Amino acid sequence: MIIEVSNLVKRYKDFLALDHMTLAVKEGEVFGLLGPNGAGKSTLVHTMLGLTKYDSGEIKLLGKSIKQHELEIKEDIGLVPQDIALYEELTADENVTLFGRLYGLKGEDLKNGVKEALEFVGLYDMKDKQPGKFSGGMKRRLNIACAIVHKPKLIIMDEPTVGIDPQSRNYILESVKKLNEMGSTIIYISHYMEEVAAICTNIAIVDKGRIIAQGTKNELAKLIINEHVVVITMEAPNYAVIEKLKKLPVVKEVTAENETLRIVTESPQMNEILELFIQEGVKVTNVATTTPTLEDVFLTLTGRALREEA
Amino acid sequence: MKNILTVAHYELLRIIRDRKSFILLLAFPLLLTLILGTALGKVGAGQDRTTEKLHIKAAIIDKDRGPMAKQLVSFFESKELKKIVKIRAFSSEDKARKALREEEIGAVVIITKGFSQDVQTNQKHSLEIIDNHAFDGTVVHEIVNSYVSGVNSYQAARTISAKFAPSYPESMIDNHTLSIQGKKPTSMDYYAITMMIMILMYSTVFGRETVRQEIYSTIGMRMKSLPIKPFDHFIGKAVAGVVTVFLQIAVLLIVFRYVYHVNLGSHLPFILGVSFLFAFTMILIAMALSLILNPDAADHILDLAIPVVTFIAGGFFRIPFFETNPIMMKIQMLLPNVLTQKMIFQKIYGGQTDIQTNFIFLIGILIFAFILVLVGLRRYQHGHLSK
Repeated sequence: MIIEVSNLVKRYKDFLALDHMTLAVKEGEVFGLLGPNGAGKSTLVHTMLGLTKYDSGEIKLLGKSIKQHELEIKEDIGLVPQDIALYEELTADENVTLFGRLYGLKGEDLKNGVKEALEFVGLYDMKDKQPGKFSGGMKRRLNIACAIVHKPKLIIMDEPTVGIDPQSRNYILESVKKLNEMGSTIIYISHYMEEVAAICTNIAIVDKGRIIAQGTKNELAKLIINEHVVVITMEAPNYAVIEKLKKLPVVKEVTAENETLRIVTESPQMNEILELFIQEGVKVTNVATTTPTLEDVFLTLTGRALREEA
Repeated sequence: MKNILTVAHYELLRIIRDRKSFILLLAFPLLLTLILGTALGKVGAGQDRTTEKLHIKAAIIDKDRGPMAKQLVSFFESKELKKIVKIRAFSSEDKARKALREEEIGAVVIITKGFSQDVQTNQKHSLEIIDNHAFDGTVVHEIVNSYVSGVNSYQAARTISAKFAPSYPESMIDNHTLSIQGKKPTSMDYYAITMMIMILMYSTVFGRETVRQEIYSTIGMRMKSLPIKPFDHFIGKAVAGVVTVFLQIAVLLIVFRYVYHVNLGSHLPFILGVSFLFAFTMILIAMALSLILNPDAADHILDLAIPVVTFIAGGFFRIPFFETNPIMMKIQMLLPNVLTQKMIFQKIYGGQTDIQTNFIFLIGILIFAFILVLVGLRRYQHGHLSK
């Protein structure tokens, strides 16, 4: 195991940020940590890296205790922080070189490492430019280059695609896959379930400082195999029908977004549901069924949507 | 060490690339010195040294009444020295001492009984000088030293002439001259140093920003994930700050000397060295405050403290009370800006300030600040910093 976390507890005064969290990540995985904002994902990462002290539990990275071998372990880890952490006054090349040196690289290794990292993120041609002149996506890519310059065994990416255009997002997701193919284990933290579903081989769903489910995308979907999702679009929003739908025994969950309702049911039969619409005289413009997503898994397990405030 | 140098190297690059701030760092003290030097010229820093009319007031109490004592009095009343010192007559020592306390005069020279006899018989004899620990006192000391030196030369010459003719003329003491050129700072001289000291105190900004950036910002979080010790990182940043301040001082001193024609004596390496030490102390103090409290609290404290301690040091205008009051003198020994300022003035203009003692006190403050930084970093490593 490249990461072994057992019974980790972290409190901020009265708030329990990590509630006896236990986690194991195998070498070579792209491991997704999925959960809403404030679930404890970043706290877990900061604690694992020794950036934040924890109250109890045990953390082993690369087979060694973080408490006893902090500096040694950090040589083999690259952190891509949630916010862009670059020096605006230094050029792209100087930023990557600085981090390369501090990771212990020197001479030809440093020179090659910097070149490869910048080429990997597609910024080699811009190496003499300062990040202040970069777009949001380019800054995110440079943020990654600074973390991979020393070819770490473990790369931790904390929400690396926040606030960027779809093209840059795809570039970063493809980069994650490539880095994994090149031999790095990746911890990918996100509250975007599409991203986690697209690139992660193993996923842990985090909520309120606990891991509430863990497995592959299919394994997690099986947790709610007996559930079905029906999406019904009405001609106009109708809150009375929503309340009545919630009272039907077959319905587990109803969420509404304007005139579109997302209904989780225990049965593939929709008769009861459609009859209610007819009885209430509500005009339906579209009916569709979907397969459960990670969003549905999270919704079922926590009763809340992933992008709601925790 | 490698990590310290790496951090210092890139931090220095960052500071220099931030041209607007870097130019401001230099322009601000130059402008401030020019304004204060010209606008506040008559507040008390001094007059133009080219006039050579100082009007220092002193008293001589002659308890000896012998020929050598009369000669010392006439030395003070000589044509050259009349431009510098005005001797006031007092009927008793107590009255002279009272006038000194009330700052009517700058020094009292007491010629103790037996002075003439001891000099004539080639015996040692001490004169008593009580002064105000300010420039006036220093000048009176210098004059007495000059007289004593002349007497000693005369005695030596007389001893030699007794053995080897021809003899030396008796009038040689009266011909002894005393130069005061460069011995008293003009307003510009004074403010150049005091403003430089104040600007050096603002080097605390490097200490505060280091803590703010490295602990409370995203880049700090990233830095903490690297395989380097926080100590290496912070010291690297402090070194970059000190080097920047050093460059700033060097440019300032060049402009002071060649554009403002400020008297810096022939002690540039000393001034640079002491300033370097002082800047390092200030950066460490700011780091310690920022680590132990937080950078915002440090901002409030230092932004208030810097003008106050500059005032206490007489940076805006000289306050004789602070220079003579025993309690204020003790407080001043704990203020690194006063210590540095005194050392620089002493080196350029001479006087009675004990450079060694001030230097030891400054080093003591630096070591104390360094220990506080270590304590703060330990708290940081254990996650006990206040936000």
